[in-house]
Amino acid sequence: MEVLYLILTCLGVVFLESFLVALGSMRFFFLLNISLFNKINWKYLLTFSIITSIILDVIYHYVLGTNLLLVAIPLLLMLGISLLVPLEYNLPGYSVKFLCIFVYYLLLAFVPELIITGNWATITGLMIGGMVLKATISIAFCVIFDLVWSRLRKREEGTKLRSL
Amino acid sequence: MKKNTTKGESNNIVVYISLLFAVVLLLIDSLSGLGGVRKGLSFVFEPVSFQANIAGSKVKEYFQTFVNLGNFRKEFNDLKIASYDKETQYSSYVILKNENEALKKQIALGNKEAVYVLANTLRDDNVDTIQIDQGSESGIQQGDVVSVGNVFVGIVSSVDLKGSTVRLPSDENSHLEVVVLKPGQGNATSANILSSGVISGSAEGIKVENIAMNSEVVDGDVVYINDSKVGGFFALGYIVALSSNPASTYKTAFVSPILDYDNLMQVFVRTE
Repeated sequence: MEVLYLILTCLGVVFLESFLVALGSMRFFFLLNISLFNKINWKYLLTFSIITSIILDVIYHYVLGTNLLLVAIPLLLMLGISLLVPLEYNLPGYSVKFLCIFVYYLLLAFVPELIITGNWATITGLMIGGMVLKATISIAFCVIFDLVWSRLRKREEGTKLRSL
Repeated sequence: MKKNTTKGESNNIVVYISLLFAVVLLLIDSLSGLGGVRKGLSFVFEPVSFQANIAGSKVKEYFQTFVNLGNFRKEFNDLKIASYDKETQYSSYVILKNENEALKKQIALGNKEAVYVLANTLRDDNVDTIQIDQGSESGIQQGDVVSVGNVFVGIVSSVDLKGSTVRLPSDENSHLEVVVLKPGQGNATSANILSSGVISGSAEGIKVENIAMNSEVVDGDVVYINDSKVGGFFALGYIVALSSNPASTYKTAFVSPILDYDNLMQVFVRTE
């Protein structure tokens, strides 16, 4: 059953990722990773991340592993910052996430090209502005996701029988 | 607390393993290539991605419409201005065309020996008179006859330097002698004349009186002005609403004018 869930999630994420890229160059895969981080079993998250990142590498014609690297570096940064700022559902927590998403988009602007061609891409002020805008929209998604997630958890807990 | 820390640490493993796995994948793909994996995954997921891309592009186009609303509005205003410009040009063309047609009519049907002054009609709220833009400066005098072709319009009742007022047959002070002929009979010989009469303006319209009781005048017959004040033979309109009172010695009728005085744009004033 878990395998079926995983395959369906991968398909859904690939669809949404392509849809949002066409709509406004938004990346859904990283957003889901950062939102699900610390929320589900790490084994599921790891399997999902590896499979989906490979699929996306194939779709975007990147060198395999590029997407996974792009996801892992901002998450590593988030872990580093979490030693100083606790990752809770408050302003500092979301500020850290905002920074990580911004870094992700920044890396996305030049890392794939660097890996494929070995050349550094030029980053303009307009691109930085776009990244800030996308990071802001992504944070809004994270907030909504966390709210929905916490409500779902509460509902699940409510249906559980109390053990005496 | 210890349990939470352990859970947090085990979640961190995701990042480390991902990083390690990414580096390994990069190395393998750069060195040997994973063509088989690529082809298989591409075969399955490219159509999904393609469809999603199309859907995303369509939604983007839809939103783009809202983004470009300002431009659309500007374009609409520009088009409106251009449309007004064209409308103005068209109006000028219509005026010229009307003038041209009036001139043609005048050349074909008017009295070629007389001197005519072309005048444009001006807006006037009075239904019994019209204002024209030519006055004594152009040689127009009180009593001059105004016509279009051989159709009677009125008589100049007052003149100033740059304009004149024309009294229409529907004015209550307008009294003219007329003759009634059958349609198609242009010669006003005594044999063709069905009856003579007098027209005068009234609130109901142009009234014809003194039509002989024993005449064969019927509705639809043509009324011509035949008055010494006019000094010519001008068509005026058609007989309508012919009525006869047995106690009276003559019939009365109304005239439906050939010209629509409200829509006249150019007229000709016959000067002495």
